[in-house]
Amino acid sequence: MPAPAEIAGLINPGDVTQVENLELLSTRVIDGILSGRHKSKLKGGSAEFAEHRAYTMGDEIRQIDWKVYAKSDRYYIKQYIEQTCLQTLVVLDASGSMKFGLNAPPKFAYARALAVCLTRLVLRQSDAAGLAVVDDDLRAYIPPRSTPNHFQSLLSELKSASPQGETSLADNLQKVLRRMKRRGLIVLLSDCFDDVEHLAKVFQMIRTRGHDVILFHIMAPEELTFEFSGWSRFRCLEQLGMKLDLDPAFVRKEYLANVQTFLKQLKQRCGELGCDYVPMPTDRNLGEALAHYLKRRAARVKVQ
Amino acid sequence: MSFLSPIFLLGLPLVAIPIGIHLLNRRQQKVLNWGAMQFLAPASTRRRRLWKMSDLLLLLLRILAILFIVGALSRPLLPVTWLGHSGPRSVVLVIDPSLSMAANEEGEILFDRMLDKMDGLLEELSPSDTLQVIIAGDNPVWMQELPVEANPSEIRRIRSQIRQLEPTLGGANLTAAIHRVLDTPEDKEKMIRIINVLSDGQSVGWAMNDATPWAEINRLVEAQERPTLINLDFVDQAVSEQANLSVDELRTVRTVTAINQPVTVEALVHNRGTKATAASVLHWYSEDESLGISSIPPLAPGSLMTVSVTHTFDATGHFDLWCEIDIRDVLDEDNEAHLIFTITDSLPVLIVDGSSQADPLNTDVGYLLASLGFQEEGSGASPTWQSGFLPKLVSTSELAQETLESYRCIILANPHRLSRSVSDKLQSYVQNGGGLWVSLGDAITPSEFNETWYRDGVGLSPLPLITTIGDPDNREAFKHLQPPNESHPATQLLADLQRLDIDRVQVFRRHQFDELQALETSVLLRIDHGDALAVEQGIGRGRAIFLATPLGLTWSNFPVCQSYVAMVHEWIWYLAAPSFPRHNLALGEAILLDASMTAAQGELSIQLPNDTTLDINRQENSPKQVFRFTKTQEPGTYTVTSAANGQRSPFVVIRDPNESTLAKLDAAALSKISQMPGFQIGGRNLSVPSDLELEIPTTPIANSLLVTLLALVVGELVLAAWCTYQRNPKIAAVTMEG
Repeated sequence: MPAPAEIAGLINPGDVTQVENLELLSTRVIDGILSGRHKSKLKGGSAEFAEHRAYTMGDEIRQIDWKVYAKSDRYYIKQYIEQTCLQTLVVLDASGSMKFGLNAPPKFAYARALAVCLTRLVLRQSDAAGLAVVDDDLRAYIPPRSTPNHFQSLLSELKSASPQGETSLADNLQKVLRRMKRRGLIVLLSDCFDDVEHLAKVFQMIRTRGHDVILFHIMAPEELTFEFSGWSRFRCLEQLGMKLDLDPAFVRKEYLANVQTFLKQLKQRCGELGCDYVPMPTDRNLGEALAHYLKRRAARVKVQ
Repeated sequence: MSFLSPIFLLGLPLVAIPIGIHLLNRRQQKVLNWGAMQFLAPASTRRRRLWKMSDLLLLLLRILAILFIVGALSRPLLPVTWLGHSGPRSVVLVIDPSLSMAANEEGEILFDRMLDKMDGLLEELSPSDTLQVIIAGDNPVWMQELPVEANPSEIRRIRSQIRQLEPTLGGANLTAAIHRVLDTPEDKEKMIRIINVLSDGQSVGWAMNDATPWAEINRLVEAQERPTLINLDFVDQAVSEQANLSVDELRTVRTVTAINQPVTVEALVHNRGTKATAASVLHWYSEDESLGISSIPPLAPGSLMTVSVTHTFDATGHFDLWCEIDIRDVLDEDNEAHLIFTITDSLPVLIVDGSSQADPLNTDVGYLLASLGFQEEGSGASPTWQSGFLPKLVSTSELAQETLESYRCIILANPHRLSRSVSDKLQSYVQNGGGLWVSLGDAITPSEFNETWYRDGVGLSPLPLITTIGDPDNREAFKHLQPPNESHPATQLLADLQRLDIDRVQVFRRHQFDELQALETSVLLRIDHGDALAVEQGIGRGRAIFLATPLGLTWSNFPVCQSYVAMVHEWIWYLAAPSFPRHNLALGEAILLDASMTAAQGELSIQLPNDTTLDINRQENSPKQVFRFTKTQEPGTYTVTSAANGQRSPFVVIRDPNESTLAKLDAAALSKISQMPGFQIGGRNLSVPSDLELEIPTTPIANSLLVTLLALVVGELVLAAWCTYQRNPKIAAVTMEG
């Protein structure tokens, strides 16, 4: 696992420390070959014996427990409990809107730091971590791996990513979904400046496939307060040439109402679909926010 | 537009300040790269439009505020037409109320058509105009003292007042009315004075043959500071040929006479129309009593005829003897005429005998007394008089003690030289309305006469005496008299040579008047070769006659001629007439009441020709109790009634018969009038000709600008407050909640 110095350019070391000892647990038990900390429902060859079952035509001969045959003169096969790797795919929104940041770190930088934290956490707990960078297209896709060197690949991709282009979150999530062969956890780091209903449909598709979804909703504090004054020109970070000349104070009320509606709608849809909605304003300490969330999530998962 | 303080206009460039601030604010816009456009765009679409509107409106308000401050300080004067007004006009309506306006045509009189035109004119008035109305009678009179604003309530009131008018029996002096209007001060705040004359265009009343009033009108028009338009708006008359019989006048020798004395009245009937009249009948009345009829044959246009009636009044008092033609023509109001007679039972006459004879019957006075109807009934009985006269005989010495006002006439028969005091007393008597007849004989010399009676032209005699001519003893040498003037009321009867014999009078001796001393002396009798024998003079209200020969047979045979009695009677009535209040008046002549009316207690009222009644306030404690009523500008009958005893006293103001001539102004007259400065004929109501240069008056608008400025400032403050509120709504920021 790369030392904190190698990721210092991407993340505050203090934030790393705060989440170092925490785990990112999936709320679902993943079937398949067990390795790492997640128990799979798949019963296959592994170190831990689970139970015997009568031999039926088609079972593999090598699975027959000969000791039991010797004692009972009947054919039985052994079943074992497998521990599977958590397939975590971090989807990083690199659209133009993520470039915004005034008095707090730009949303993309914040999201990228969060991606670093999360992927490091996943790999540290021997789960598989992957990365998808999206804007108006699936710009980069690194399938989840659990090898120690995989973090370097992720870091490298994160370093090279920069926000640009328009948001096409829902469509790109679908593309990502098609690449996810095994059930896992999709962590979306985005401001979600896309159509909420379209996004919700995709979330539903993801959930139907058996994946977990965590949405880290990243927004700048200025986008939540809109405390601008004076005649201003607002230039769109995604569409080139789009601009609005206005007096912010005059539109503040309606703007905030629109944002409030958006947040409420997004949160409500996430809740309905069983997705975790984690608000991450960029003026909030990343480590504290993530730690707070992970603790809450861990507590919730263990209860189940 | 002009400005009273134009220096403040230098502040106009200050308008650039708010514009500059506005542009500066726009330039200093911040640029923000923004990601959440999807929340901003919908909000900005509507709000941006609103902001732009409010921002521009604030800018506009601030610009206007500066403009209005600068404007108000510079005190502009705006032409009133810029404010949507037609331009203030001073409008005068000249209403023709004359007799000819009562001409009817197809059931409608011209006056009513004129009222319809008036309605149209009143509707053209605007509140910035002023209106005044003058009634153009024989003596034009303003309906209001001052012009009134032409607001709806005043127009309604004036319309109502005018509609209560009716045509009178009088004429219309339209040139005098126009002159009076032009002579009133102009309203400098009005851009034009429009004088609209509403008339029938009758030529009478326009004085086309008299250049003086027109010259004066032209002078006044030229002298006006503001343009003046005189529009002659004539009521059209469709029928051109019309017949119109008119009783032009009633004539009689005298209207004051004695009871039971026959009076003859002549009616002069005239066809003043342009078409021949049918045969008709004239009815005579004394008050309500019918006196008979006179036939009037068909009359050609312009023809006159005279019909008469003789009547004896058997009671004393005042009587209205009138006539009416029974015919319906274009103008019915002139088919009637009135004459008021004053009937008295006795006429007190003072006869001063200058002779020294004890028995007056043996003197010149004797013939005079006989002519007055003296009848001696026997010794001890009072003499009676048959003529209605009540003479009293005194000597010259007794004259000083007499109260002269008790007598209607004083006759001095062959007087001696009188003292100054008596002479002054007689002068005063004549001036107060008394009649004096001085018949000169041998008791006075020419020089004494001149000293007593002529007094270098200030005495009672109009002429001095030069000498005495003739020999009374030589009856072969005499002079006859010329036939006297038949139009003079004192000699009208004497001029009738068929009934009387004035031409047979023989004068043997006479005093000679010096006629060169006065060129226009009224001569009642002349000698054959032209010397005046009897002269008269009006002094004050009275008259004096001087006969250059005595009343007896000493110097002439007058007493034995038929004319003598007629002369005595006619001259006494003639001299006595001024002492009676006149009841047949000229236009404008004052009504004077006699003692019987004024002595009565209680209130008096007077009924006017338009049937209105006025109560008269009298000075109860006035020693002379003289009543005068001077508002006799309208022809017709006036009746004064005493509330105490119901006594009625009629008066008639004689109308001008020429008003019955309905001939219109001819083309030449119309052309002449239309060429005069300021005149136009038949212009379209109150419209101003386009070629007339008008100085549009201005009105200061600084106060209006200040009021508007106040509104602008308030508006700016309110809008700015609203914008501030819009910019700082109490909205909490959005929080992200997990």
